[in-house]
Amino acid sequence: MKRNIIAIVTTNSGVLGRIGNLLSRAQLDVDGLTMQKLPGKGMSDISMLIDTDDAHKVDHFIKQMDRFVDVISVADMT
Amino acid sequence: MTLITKAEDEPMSACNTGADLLVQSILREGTDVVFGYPGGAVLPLYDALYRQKVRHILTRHEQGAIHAAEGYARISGKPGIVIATSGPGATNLVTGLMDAYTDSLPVVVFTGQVTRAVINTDAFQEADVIGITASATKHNFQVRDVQDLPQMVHEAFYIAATGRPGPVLVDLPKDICKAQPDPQAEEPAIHLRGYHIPGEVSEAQIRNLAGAIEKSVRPVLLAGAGVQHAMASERLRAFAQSQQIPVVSTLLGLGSFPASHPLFLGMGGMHGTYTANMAISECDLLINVGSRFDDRLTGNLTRFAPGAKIAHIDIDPSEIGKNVPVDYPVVGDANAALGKLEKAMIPCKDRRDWLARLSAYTRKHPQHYDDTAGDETIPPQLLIERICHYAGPDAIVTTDVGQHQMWAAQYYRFERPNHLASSGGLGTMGFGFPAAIGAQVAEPGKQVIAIVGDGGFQMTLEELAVVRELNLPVKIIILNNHALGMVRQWQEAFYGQRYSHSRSSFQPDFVRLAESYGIDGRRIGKKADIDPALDAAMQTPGPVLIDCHVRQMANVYPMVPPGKGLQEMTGV
Repeated sequence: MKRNIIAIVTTNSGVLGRIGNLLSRAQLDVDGLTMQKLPGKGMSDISMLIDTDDAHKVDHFIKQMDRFVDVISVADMT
Repeated sequence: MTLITKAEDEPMSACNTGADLLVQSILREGTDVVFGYPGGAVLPLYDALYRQKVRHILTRHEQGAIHAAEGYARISGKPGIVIATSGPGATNLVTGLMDAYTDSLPVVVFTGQVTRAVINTDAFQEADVIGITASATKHNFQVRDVQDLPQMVHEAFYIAATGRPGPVLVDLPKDICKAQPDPQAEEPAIHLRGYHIPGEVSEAQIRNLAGAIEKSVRPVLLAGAGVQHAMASERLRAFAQSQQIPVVSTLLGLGSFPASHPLFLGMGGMHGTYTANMAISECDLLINVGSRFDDRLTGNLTRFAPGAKIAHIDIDPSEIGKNVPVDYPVVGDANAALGKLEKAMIPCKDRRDWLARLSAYTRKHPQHYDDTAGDETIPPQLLIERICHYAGPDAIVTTDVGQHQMWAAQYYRFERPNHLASSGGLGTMGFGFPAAIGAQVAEPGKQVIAIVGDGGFQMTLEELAVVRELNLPVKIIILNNHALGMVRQWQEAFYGQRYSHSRSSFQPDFVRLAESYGIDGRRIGKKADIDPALDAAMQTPGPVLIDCHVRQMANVYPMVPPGKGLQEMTGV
């Protein structure tokens, strides 16, 4: 099942690296990933398309992402 | 010949560099000591430390510095601070960072970095420390502007010490430390839009849990490290007592509930007590306070607490439901949650039948060990009991990882919180001795005992120089079985007694090694040696090393074999 995860993050170098590391550790397959700066607020949005049938894994991934200091909000928009 | 030149290439205003600003910012956080090791990229920082007379403890390896900082943090509750240079200095910290992250210890690390102009050119002693440590830190950042230093330092300490504590790394390009900042009038403030600390504990969650406790006939409290991080031991004791709920501890929870209390059942998990594991297996309500349901605690998850409803109090929402489905979640600080829970409860239900059943288990299957090998050898469990006897309840214990750690957990009676520093989650050999240095620095008036194995001690023994140099009265007790005991035990039990590289054909003379550092050393190998050696060590004002030759083939029991449930213990 395709899951669409959306996050708002502070535009700091390193945040994408952390999210990439976590995706790898969680063994989640990424079908798509975009990051875009939001105008004038020092924030960016990240959109991820993840292919998995493991809902528990995705829930845990979202909670782990939410722990990141640079992640302002994250949600499964599927 | 004496070499006197100007400091590197630039004339520098003596007290107004980025490094000075950094040191002032660190001191503003209430820091009284830093652990570190200098090198090229942090020369400006060490110059500022020299000028500003900060108490700095020079370890002999960066790993020693970060484990010392962890020991300091674990015992004092305050952030431990580490400084290391770029490249290898920083990469030598990675194990300690991961260790602190896994065990939720507040540590703030400052690493040198090459100048900004040569970052990402494979410059001398350059490493991508931000990338390397991203998965081993609660947060990390690189300073890109000298004006940001006070803010970043303040935020680093704030992140490390609040919520679920953890390590934070600040990477410092050398030119930032050498730059001259503009004067700053404003005090640094916290601007972290994405950093959420759980607020007030939800009344609804507390009410739900209180209702479940009122209905429960066979409840058990599981006390984890979070109890001690939240300074909630007193509340836990009062709550358990008023509700007559027995308490099981995790490894890192030891001391959060007094070992001598009649409601204490001991440690649970792979090498827990029979009673603790049966209590978890037969309870109808398991109330986890500040533990993360680690696999060494749960055993086979499909057989974990099979008939129980699960309550989980944790400050980190991502822990709730991670390993074990939770019926009654409570997100928040353990102290606040237990306080609210106490107020929400009606008087205690009669739980005498449940407590009597558990007492019967303890009578039938008490913690015991094989003491039949005669007087010419030392049972390691007896040694731990005697250390506990001579050290007294106010002593601080640190351990490495392996058999000696488990025997310490089983046979040392931890009566008080924040008196044990052990590498629980990551299981880092070499942790115990430098952690004892940090613990002794945090509590100079207390007896600190490093209980280590001969394997782990050889990983960080270079720090003997530190205890001698500072005359720290740490007592180093090596449970020397000439083996990597836990590896050997598993090879015996699960790999057909094929002892592949787990037994030492050579090891140094630890007594002469200690003496070469100017430290009193003593070797013992018989039962009758134990008491005189420990008595003498405790009376000695400075550091002492005791090399205790214990039975090589002694095993840690009881045990939940891998893949089994807690109710399937062997060696009970």
